[in-house]
This record gives sequence, structure tokens and C-alpha cells, in this order.
Amino acid sequence: MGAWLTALGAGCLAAAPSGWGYIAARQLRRRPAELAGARAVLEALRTEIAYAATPLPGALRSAARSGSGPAADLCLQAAAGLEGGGGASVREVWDEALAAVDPRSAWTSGDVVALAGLGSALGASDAEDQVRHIALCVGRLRAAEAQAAAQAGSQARMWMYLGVLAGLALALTAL
Amino acid sequence: MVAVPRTEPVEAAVRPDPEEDLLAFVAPRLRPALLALRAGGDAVWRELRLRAGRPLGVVTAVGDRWLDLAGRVVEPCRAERVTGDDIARTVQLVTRASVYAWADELAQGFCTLPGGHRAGLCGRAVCRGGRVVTLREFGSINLRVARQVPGVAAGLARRLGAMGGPRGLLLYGPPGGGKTTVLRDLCRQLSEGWAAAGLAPVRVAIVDERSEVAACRDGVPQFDLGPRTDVLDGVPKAVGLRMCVRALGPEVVACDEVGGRGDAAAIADAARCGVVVVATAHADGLDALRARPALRAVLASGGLPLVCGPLRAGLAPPPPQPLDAAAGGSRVQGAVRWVRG
Repeated sequence: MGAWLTALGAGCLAAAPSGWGYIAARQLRRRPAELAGARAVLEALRTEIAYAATPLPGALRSAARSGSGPAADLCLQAAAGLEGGGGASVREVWDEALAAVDPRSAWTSGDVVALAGLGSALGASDAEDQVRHIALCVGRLRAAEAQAAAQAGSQARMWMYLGVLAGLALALTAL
Repeated sequence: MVAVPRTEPVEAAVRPDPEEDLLAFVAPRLRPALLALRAGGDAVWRELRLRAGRPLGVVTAVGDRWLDLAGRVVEPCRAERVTGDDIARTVQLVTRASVYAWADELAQGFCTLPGGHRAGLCGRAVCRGGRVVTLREFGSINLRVARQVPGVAAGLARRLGAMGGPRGLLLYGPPGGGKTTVLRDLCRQLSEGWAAAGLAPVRVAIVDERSEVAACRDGVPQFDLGPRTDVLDGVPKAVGLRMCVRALGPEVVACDEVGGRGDAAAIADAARCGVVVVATAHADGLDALRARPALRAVLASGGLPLVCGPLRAGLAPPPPQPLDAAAGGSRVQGAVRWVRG
């Protein structure tokens, strides 16, 4: 009975860091895809604004339909906030939506800052200016995406191995 | 100037709460003051004036009023100061957070709101090729309440009936004088017909370039314009007048604020086709009307043989006069003024 309990404890000790390593690796692998998704959604938003002159809540909803993931959720939440008519500014609504979506995403604080910068510009100027702001944000996301892809390739496996090895080391120490 | 006959105040608006419609477009911080003013029954406001760094003002039937945040009427120096943030939030509500979607309207300095209300905006103009393309960095906003006043044009309709039916008519007056309100009601009366006044019902088409007369929302007029009225919404007047005549077969065409390029030719064309044109123009008197080259051309088009004005807010319109008689009277009065001077 004692041996069984010891083995179970060692298993738990091995699983916890392994799981942590697995989660860290998954976050690294998800980030490029989520950044690409955000870029696609923002490109769609740019089209809605520049060519269709769709009012912002409708443009955000339409852009959200063209993608998935946290960026689509961000647009949907911002659209809902603007349609509420409470008088909150676009920036406030955007920041609130970003704060709600961020914990569920693989974005880093740098990615969130790039997206947050758009909140103070969206809807506040003519189409040409809007296109410029969105293009700037898309450019930042593209650079972050390239960096994230390189990071995922080199570090994801490392975090997984590190987790498993750390778990095994802990389990052996306990035994 | 044409002698203005003494007129009586007309009945109040029947739309229950147009001010409350408009409050939805005002920055939330300022709404309680305006609600308190209404609750106090102090005054019905016709315009709301928001200027960054200046006192919060409303224009009522009895003049300008300045408000503190509790909605009390105070001296301008004690009134609540409107902030840049109030202006930004109001612009956001007016444009539905989409300044880019209103570029054409902003280039003209206004946005039409649901319910026919109008927001006039001031800011830094963005020009290209000598033409204003849009506004940015907004500094002040003027929100004007649109009201339907059924019966305001009854006297005018009765006189047109006595003349044998609708005739080309130009309603003129200063901004805020009620021209659009009178035009709207006249369209309704002509469309419905008024047997007792000798007016048979007629087909009316409205060229509503600025969406102020009919206040169309998703193509549906928000005001009662009568059963035989069609509305061409958002179309430039010169184009819309020709489209109406060709496509809708109207007996009367109405348009607001004529005086643009091509308006005079379009009005003359419509009149030659046998369509009666009813229009409005900004002018404080006939002399002022004639002093504006574009309006001089409109008057010379022959499509508007009657003139009526100057219209004043809260007063029934004066009787229409033949343009020639009005012009003659004006010249005589002008001569008298010159001799006395």
C-alpha cells in the first residue's frame, strides 16, 4: 500500500511540471496562428471601412465573421459595447473588450499593446486615416507573428522537454 | 423689405418628446443637466449648443439659456463648461463612432440624425484641391430638434386653395425660422387635399437631399407627409428634381434649401414640364434673397412665381405674394428708406 502511494505521489510530481511545460509549448504554438487570425480580421475591418464605409459596429461584426479566435471575439465584444449606446468612447469599449479576451488568448503583452493602440483611433477620422492606423497595427502584428513563429519552432519543444524532465527529476527525488 | 403681416403663434408640436430623442446623442455627462431643465418645465429647447471650453447653452423660444450641471439656468460665467471629451463623445454618438462613414455630410458640416434632428459640426477642415473633404478635431456641435407641427401651413394651404390650387412657391427666412417645418406640413396638406379650402389631393414628390424634410430612416419617412408623397432621399436637388419628374409623375415637387449649382435650371425644367415646385431658401428678406446670385437665378427661372416670408420661428407663415408684387414692394420700400435716409 505504501509503495503504491509513493508511486502515485511520484506520478503526480512528474505530471505537474510536464503539464506546465505542455501548456507553455501550446501557448507558443498558438500565438502565431492567433496573430495571423488577428491580422486577417483587421484586414477585413480595413476593407469594410475603406470600401464599404460601414459604420464601425457593423464593420466590426462583419470583420469578426471573416475570422475566428480571440481577434474575432474582440471585434464582437467591441461591437456589442458600441451598440449599447451608453456613451462610452471607442477606446474604453475596445480596452474593455481586449481585457476580457486577453486571458483566453496566447497574445503577449506586446501584442495587446499593439492592438490597444488601435482603440484610440478607430472610427475617429476619415477613411484614409483609418486605413493608415489599421495598416500600422497589421504591420506590428505581422512582425510579432514572424517572431512568434520562430519562437514556436525553437522553444516549444524545449518547454515540453523541460517540463517532462523537471517532472521526472522531482519524481526521482521523491523516490 | 416685404412688409410682414402680424401673425399669431401656431400650435405646439404634437410629437411627444423630440428633445428626449436628441438627448441620446449628447455626451452622458451633460444629459442630467438637460433632463433637469426639462423636468423643471423651464423651457422647451430648440437647439443645444456645445462648444469646447465654453458654457453649456440651449436655445429656447425665448432666447439663449446657460445651464449648470444641475440644469439650473445661470449666468454664462457660472454655467458648466463643455469639455473636449464631451464634444468627442457627442461626435461619436452622432456619427455612430464612424466619422469616416459621414465624410460627405461632414464636408457640408452637418449630420442628419434619426428623427430628422440635425447636428451641425465645427472643426478643422480637411481640404483637397480647394474642396472640403471632411472635418476633424471637432470644436463645437449644434444639435437642432426637428419637430412636426401639423397645421402650421394651414393658412398657406388655404390661400393656395383660394388661388385655384398649388403654385410654384419659395418659402424663405433666416436659419431656424421654421422653413423646413412649414414645407413639411405643406407637403402633407397638399398630399392629403383639403376640400373645404379648395385643394384637391395631389401627388407630391420630395427631393430630400439632407434628409431633413422627411427624415427617412432605412428609406421610410419618420414624419407624416401624406398618403400621396414619395421621397427621394439623399439625392442632390438638381439631379433629384429631374429624376422625380421623369420617374414619379408628381404634380408637386418639394425641396429644401435651394441655391446650389444647377438648382435654377432644374426648377425651370420642372416648371416647363407642368410640375409645381415648392422650395425653401435661406434669406432674411427679399432683398437678401436677390443679393445671392444663385437664388437670383432661381427666382429668374420662372418656376417659383410666389414667395412667402420671411418665416419666423413660432409664428405662422405670412401670406404668399406674387414675386413681381413682392419685388415691386421691396423696391418702393427701398426707395422710401433711401429718401428718408
